[in-house]
Amino acid sequence: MNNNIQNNIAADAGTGTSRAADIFKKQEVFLAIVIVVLGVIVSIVNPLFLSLQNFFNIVLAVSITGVATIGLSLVFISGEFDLTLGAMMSLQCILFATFATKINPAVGIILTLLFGLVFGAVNGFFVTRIRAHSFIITLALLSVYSGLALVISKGNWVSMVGTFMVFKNKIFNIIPNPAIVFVIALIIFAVVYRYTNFGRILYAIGGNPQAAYLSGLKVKNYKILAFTIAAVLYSVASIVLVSMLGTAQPTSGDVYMLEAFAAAVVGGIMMGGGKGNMLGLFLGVIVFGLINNALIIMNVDPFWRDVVVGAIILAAVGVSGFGASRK
Amino acid sequence: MSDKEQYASAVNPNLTRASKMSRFLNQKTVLIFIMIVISIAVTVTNQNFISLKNLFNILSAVSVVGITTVGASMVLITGEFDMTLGPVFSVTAWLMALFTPTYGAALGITAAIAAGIIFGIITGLVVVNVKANSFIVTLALGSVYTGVGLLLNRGAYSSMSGFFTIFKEKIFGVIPYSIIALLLVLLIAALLFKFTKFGRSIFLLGSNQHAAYLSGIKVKFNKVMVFAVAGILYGIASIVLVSQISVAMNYIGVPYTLASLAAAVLGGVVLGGGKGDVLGIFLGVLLFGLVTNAMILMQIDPYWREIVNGAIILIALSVTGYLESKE
Repeated sequence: MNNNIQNNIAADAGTGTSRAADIFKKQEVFLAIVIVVLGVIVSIVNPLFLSLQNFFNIVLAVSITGVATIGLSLVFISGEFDLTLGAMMSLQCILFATFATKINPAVGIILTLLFGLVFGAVNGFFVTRIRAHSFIITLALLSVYSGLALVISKGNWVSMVGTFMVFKNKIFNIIPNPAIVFVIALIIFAVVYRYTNFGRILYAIGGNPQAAYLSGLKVKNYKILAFTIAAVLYSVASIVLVSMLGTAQPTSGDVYMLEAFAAAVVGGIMMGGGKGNMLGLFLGVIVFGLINNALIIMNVDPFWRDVVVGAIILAAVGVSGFGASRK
Repeated sequence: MSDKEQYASAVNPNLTRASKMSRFLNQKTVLIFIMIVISIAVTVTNQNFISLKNLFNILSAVSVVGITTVGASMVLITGEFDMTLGPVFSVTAWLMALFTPTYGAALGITAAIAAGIIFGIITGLVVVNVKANSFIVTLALGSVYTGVGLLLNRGAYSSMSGFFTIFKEKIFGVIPYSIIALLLVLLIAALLFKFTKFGRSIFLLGSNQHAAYLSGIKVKFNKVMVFAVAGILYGIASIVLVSQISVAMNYIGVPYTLASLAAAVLGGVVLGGGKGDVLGIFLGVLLFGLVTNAMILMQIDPYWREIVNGAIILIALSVTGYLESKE
């Protein structure tokens, strides 16, 4: 977007400040402060907040959004949009529940992951072939996936209660299994982004596609790969979700699209590409879980939730926009 | 996006010079061609399709989304996103339905439009002052507005059954008033784009913000104005809808956000700004209406509707992209 003037103003404002002040403009630091302040306030109001049990509750509540957001981060870092997230998760929930009940859960998991692979490749194919913004291409594909979810389920719920409940359980009766999935995915992708060629190339492509292309990188192939891995992660998130709920609806995944977008951006994974890391993503996701948890524990009117969430997103992007000079 | 072509056109501008022939092969021609093909296909199976009455049906069905698309397009032309469309629409619709039975339609309309303006100005002020992608900023604001709506109405719907039913009625029993509303909005927008300083400023803003700033255009003021005008249009659209269905509840506007963005881009409004016109917007909206109508007349399972809509966007964008690459 053309924000040259604003950038200039931001740059002017930035020259006068010292390094010590700059550290507070880092997104991770801002998020950490938000988390600590929220934590202190809530634990004064309700001491139950500071328990291991509640900590795992928070991580459990965000684990599905978290896994989906890691998927989205691949696409964001490579400089594209993926609006299909929610619709694809809905479709994958329906597919998994259908396969798991009609055949068996193991086959269901394999097929759902395979379908994720195919859908992701389709996304990547269209985004890299059609000369239009990935926002609108994935918007069109969103429509296709949510239509497919409706056609396959005929608009009905698919129940698989009692079939595959691994993700309702807890390890050692304390750590919820979905949280394990989220943490494992975080660690894997922290390593991928930091130590693999693929990870570094994604940053290069997102940071400067022209330079990446000129230096001989197969930009399109890497983008297709990013979309494909993202869709597989949506599959994982969908499998966990269906296992937790015991049912799948043709709209089960829809809410996760905007949640993941918000969590990614609050976590410093910038739209436009080339920026962000898994620590930021984790903190971004946790902030949302913490807010929900805090509002419940503090008995706040649930209708305030949307207002608070919106305000936190604005504050986070406001801080990072002020701190970072953008291209 | 095609990096190779982008690079080629950057190196050698002559490669992108438009031939006389390709001037006719633009996005609008593609849309008209698709519409003709669908019309012929439908007419073969159902003679009722080609009738003035059915044309009015189609136009009446798209009148609400048509009006919101004009608003969304204006914002897109300035180079910004407006994801607050749905939330603002929901609140203005609720206000309309709340005030009309007790205080009369005049006050209901005033309240809806005033709220649209206020939300628009707030959105505009936040967008121009927070240095972050307007997609995420307006997404956050949308969350805040949804929350404000929920806090005001406590999740309850409002009904104005029997009041202000004008947009259900037809002039001389033939032309629905909702079409008149849509056409008036389109006409005013066309005049605004072509013949006013404000209209020309927003195109310049979108194509080159820095140049606009240097040539003395008040960048921030004009952007806030655009969001305010868009807010008015969301208000008007919600009035038309509530008049037709007599009831308003939370989230009633949500589907219009992505539908309007899709129609706008299909009609040739470019994400990133600077391009778009009213005829294109009208054709984009009309195509969606035509497809929905055709599927109803051909008695196709409504679950297929979204898949077809998505496919049409992909086809139109592919063909346009292909033709542009041939230039």
